[in-house]
Amino acid sequence: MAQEKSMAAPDLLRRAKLLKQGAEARVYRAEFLGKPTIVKERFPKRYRHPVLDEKLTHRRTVQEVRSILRCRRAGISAPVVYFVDYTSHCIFLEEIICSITVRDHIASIQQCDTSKDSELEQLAERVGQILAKMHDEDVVHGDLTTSNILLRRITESGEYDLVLIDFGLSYISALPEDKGVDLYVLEKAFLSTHPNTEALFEKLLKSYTASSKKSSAVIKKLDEVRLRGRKRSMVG
Amino acid sequence: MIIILILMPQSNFIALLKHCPQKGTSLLSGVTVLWFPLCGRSREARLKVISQLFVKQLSSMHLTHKLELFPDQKVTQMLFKEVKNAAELRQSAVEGKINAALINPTMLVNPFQVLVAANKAVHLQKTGKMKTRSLYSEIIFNLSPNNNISEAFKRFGISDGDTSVMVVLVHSEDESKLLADITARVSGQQVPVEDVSSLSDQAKIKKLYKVTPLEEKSGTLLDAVVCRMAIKDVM
Repeated sequence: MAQEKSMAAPDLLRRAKLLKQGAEARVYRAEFLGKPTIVKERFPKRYRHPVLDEKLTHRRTVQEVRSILRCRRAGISAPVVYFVDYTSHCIFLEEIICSITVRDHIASIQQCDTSKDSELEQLAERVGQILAKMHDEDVVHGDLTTSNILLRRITESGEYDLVLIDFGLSYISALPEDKGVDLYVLEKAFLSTHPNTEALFEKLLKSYTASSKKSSAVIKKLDEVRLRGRKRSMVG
Repeated sequence: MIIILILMPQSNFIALLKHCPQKGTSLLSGVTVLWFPLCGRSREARLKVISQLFVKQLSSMHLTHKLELFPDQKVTQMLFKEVKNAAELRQSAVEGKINAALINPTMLVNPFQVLVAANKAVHLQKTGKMKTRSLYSEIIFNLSPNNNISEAFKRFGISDGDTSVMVVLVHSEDESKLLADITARVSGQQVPVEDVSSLSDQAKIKKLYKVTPLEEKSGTLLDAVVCRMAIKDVM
């Protein structure tokens, strides 16, 4: 593949601030076209065959931006995509300013002596609603955690303004199985990051069930997945 | 500007034009403060104050942005209203006599939209992946939400009967000469680039980009438009 690689994005990122390094990508903060921007760079994995690596990385980059647009179209907040560089696999996204992760928010509420259960319940219900809306659009997030949901200030009406981020493992699927696994992954992450929140997660699922048109099949699948784990096939 | 002219004899005004530096940062923000610095100063100092105001007036018209990804490239936007020679301009652009993208401002929400298109065009040019023949046609094409080139020109390029035009330049060095060349060619009134928002046809934009009411509730029209422009190649 004699593709001309643009060095423009790597050059910019060398001067940018590294926020996070994951297994898939590095996340930077930079200014782009005059706006505060988050740049997600998928780096090559040397242990994979280069052709396969290129293909997988490209596909994930494409899936990520597609899912973001699909969510936004349905009225679910997700960062605006400013620019995609398919040669260096960089996505330039709107920085969600004045926000904290739902994870940090829950932790800080739990820390307060005067436990505000009603506030947590409201938040859990809102998360359930958003996820229901997302699944109704057939977007499966693939990596649902409370760190991948941002809380952007509380609107005047007292409603939580939630922004979904990191669609790196997302895909489009209408199968209740995939959505069930999506919720199962969240359940695992939720209960392990926030101890003693079983009742709270129940509230989240309840609100999901009430908001989604196709929830009954998904919840049924979730019960199945809980018994067997997230992998369906036992081969290998 | 009128106030300045009244204050000055003709000879001073000519001197001012000669004195007027290409670049200057204005310390003053309004005409009302003009009176104060003019009292009890030398002719030279007065001219300097006025010329700085003069430069500010001129420079606030166009908008130049250095591309962060391509630090040697700058994008300059200029907006004109009451344009009388749109047909002639379009013809010159087609023939390559004007090295700029001429855009129909009614399809623009905000100057940022143009920046996104221009940045993408420069990127595609550098990586040899442009879909159209020139950088400037690529900018127009990038504004469109779909991959139909002729439709993009029809909707986002200027038409013969148009009365307003957004001129977009991509350049490396100082732009003053390029800008003067454009202003000389366009017979119309230059207005601040930010005024583009008042020219945009929101209903048409929403229809063309297929922006749903649901989406507008959770984000701005500009967000919706920019997202579609950035992602259109993989939709």
